[in-house]
Amino acid sequence: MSEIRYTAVTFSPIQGFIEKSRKLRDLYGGSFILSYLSHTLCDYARSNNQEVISPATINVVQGTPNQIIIKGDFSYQEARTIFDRAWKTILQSCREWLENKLPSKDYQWQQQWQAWENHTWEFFWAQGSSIGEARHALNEKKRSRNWVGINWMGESSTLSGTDAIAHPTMGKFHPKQSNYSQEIAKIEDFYQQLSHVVSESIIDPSEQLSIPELIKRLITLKPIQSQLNLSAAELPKVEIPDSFRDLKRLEENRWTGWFQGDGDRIGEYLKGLNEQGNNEAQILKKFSRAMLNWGENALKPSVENGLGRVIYAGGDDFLGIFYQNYTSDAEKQAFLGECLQWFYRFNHEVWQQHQQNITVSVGFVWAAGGVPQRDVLQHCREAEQAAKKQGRDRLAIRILFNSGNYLQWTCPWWFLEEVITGYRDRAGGQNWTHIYNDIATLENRHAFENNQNIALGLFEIYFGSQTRQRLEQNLDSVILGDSSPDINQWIINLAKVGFHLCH
Amino acid sequence: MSLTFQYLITIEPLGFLYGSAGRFLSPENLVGRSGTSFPPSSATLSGLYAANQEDINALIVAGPFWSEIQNPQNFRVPLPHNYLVKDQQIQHQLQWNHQQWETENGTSPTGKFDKGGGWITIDQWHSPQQVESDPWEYLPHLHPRLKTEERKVEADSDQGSLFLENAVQLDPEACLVYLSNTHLDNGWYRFGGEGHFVNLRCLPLDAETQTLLHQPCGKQFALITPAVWGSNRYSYRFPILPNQQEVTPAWSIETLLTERPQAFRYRLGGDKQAKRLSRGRYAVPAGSVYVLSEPLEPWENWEESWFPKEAYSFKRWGCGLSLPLAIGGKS
Repeated sequence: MSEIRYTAVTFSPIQGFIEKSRKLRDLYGGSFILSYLSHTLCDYARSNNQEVISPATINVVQGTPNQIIIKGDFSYQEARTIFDRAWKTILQSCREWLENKLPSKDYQWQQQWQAWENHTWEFFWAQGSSIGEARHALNEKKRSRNWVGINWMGESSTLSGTDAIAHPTMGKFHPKQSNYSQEIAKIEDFYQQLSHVVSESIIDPSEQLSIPELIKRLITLKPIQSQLNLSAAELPKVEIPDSFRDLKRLEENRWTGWFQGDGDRIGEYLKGLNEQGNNEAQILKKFSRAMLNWGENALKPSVENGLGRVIYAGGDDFLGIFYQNYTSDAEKQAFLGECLQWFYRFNHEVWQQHQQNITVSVGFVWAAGGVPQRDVLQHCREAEQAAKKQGRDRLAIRILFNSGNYLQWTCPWWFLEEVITGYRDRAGGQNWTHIYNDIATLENRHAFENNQNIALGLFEIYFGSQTRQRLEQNLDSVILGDSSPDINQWIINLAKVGFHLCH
Repeated sequence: MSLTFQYLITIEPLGFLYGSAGRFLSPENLVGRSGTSFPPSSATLSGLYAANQEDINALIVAGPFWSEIQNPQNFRVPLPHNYLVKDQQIQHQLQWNHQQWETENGTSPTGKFDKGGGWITIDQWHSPQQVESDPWEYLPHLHPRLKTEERKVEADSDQGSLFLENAVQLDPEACLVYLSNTHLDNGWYRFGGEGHFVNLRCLPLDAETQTLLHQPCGKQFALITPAVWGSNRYSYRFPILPNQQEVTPAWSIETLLTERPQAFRYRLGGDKQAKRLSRGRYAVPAGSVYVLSEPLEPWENWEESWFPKEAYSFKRWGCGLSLPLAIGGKS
């Protein structure tokens, strides 16, 4: 064994932890917890004079790093102890706060909290003589996973449909001796009172959450955050003002936009830099810092000027939401227009600011108000995957209806604005109904089968001959896919998606 | 009644099946894909037996698998995780060299591969060639909203009286397949959710498949069904020895190749009328590969004590049914 020089640490679930959410608040809470846990690990390493290579420090607890890379021998025992302690602090703060706020209850739930203390996370740790080696060893360890599942009895959380519902006597339930309907009444009563204490905007009286789901909600409250020993500057920049109103997508049936993006081929990019004989640790550190700063100084300001919010930007991956309290259809369309404008500019004005030579793939979901947030997030991830699959360096737009059905169209950044804004209907206006109807008619007549001329001809009528030429010259770039380029489908999807975007 | 699987149960949906699991009466859990759980676990089939036969004490079922209706005996089982797949093509077969997993050329696998979830035919178990994807798709469709306290359509709700059901449409040429040691009459049954009917056939299980299932698992084997291990309180990635102070694996595991846990729900207790209590555990996903230092018998001879027991043994649900993996197989 050569001299140990690098330690790699990661934990799981990350994506799943964030995704199990019902309100916007859950996303903040979830992403804050993940950041806090890795922040604690990095802080400890630094205070022991070890160099944290990634994530770089900028003065925020923010983002969800996939891996923590530390230069030096950060022992398993140390790492594990620090990590567990941080998580325990969060749980304890939440539990004690609840018990103080609702003191009249007969609390017999310590054992369940303890189970979540020990078994919420899979923790992975590995070392190597180089960063690459440490990472490789970490990935090898992850193959076996490291989970323990906490079984449950009776009804499960209304949010995720899994795991026991948190309530004061949850540990006492005996299937043979307990009265089931009494149990249900107790749960309902507890959530009524809890909702009253924290306000309905944070927990609806109709919700019944599991312990980790409850924690994600509560951690967004100031009195609980204040117990985490973070300086004011370190508190998450996802500052949740007391006046923070959660999104009421369903009640007000509002459409919202969600975007999730990820840098392309980051691993290969970093490897390429290493092969140029540079110092691996320096490269990674520089990269990590550039990306974190980008999230803070470029991405956030571009969104948070009234358009929406960034949930996390933890490096090369990011998640955000566009929402506006529009009151009419015209306002809604104007708002959607602003979102599109943001995407036209995103690649060359926002993304490029980190000055790393990498491209980005983004999934954008324009979602109807009735689709649950968890589903929207899944669609978001799928749209991002679609953008990657279709050749990266592009945007996938998905229109998601209340029925759960969706339309999707994918386009590289360089071509996006030219196509969407270049549309002219037969009267020279911007009415997409024309192309939409033509497509519907031609589809009904099976006009697109076995030839591309019809679709291309239609494209030329509505987008002009220059744009058609550009499309044909760059067919491979525009329509890469897992299969042969299907120009017909791309044009059909463009018409359908464009109709909803610009209607 | 023998312990061995002698019957093949095929299930053809008459219309849609139900694609979610969880709290039925909570619309939020029905909408869309979040609670997705398909195909129905073997516990669902066991429930169907329970509703139709008096004595099911000796029942053992296993699944889910699927097949072409035309050729039900050559059913699909989950591809073991030691095969790395890209775009439905097998790229590598990983081997355990007692230190780490390596490809057939003795190198570490590099690059990105598809997440698990492929299927292979049972006759290709020893040398998988073709990987197939799920023969079903999710079709969310509208459904009357029910009152929260009764199974009645809610007429005067301000949310409208429809909600989405995450329905599943199986390819019309495919059927779901389960194994069983007990005969069941052919016919139409209620299966997998409210008001969903299926056409069920019970066939004698092909002799070759029976032979394969009788083979000892040896030192390297893969799960072809999800495995729930552990105590009533916790689920683990391996069976544990009963009545120990510490959690002690019942197997001497060199390594295992697995994924995140999947929720495994079932209902227990009560006869048909009584309120049955729901339970949830976590399962090791099918396709997981175990490498042990001591060889194991065929699954049918596995120790009863390895299986969780709650009212009855989880062996009844074919938990962790496994087949041996060839060591140093030729690709």
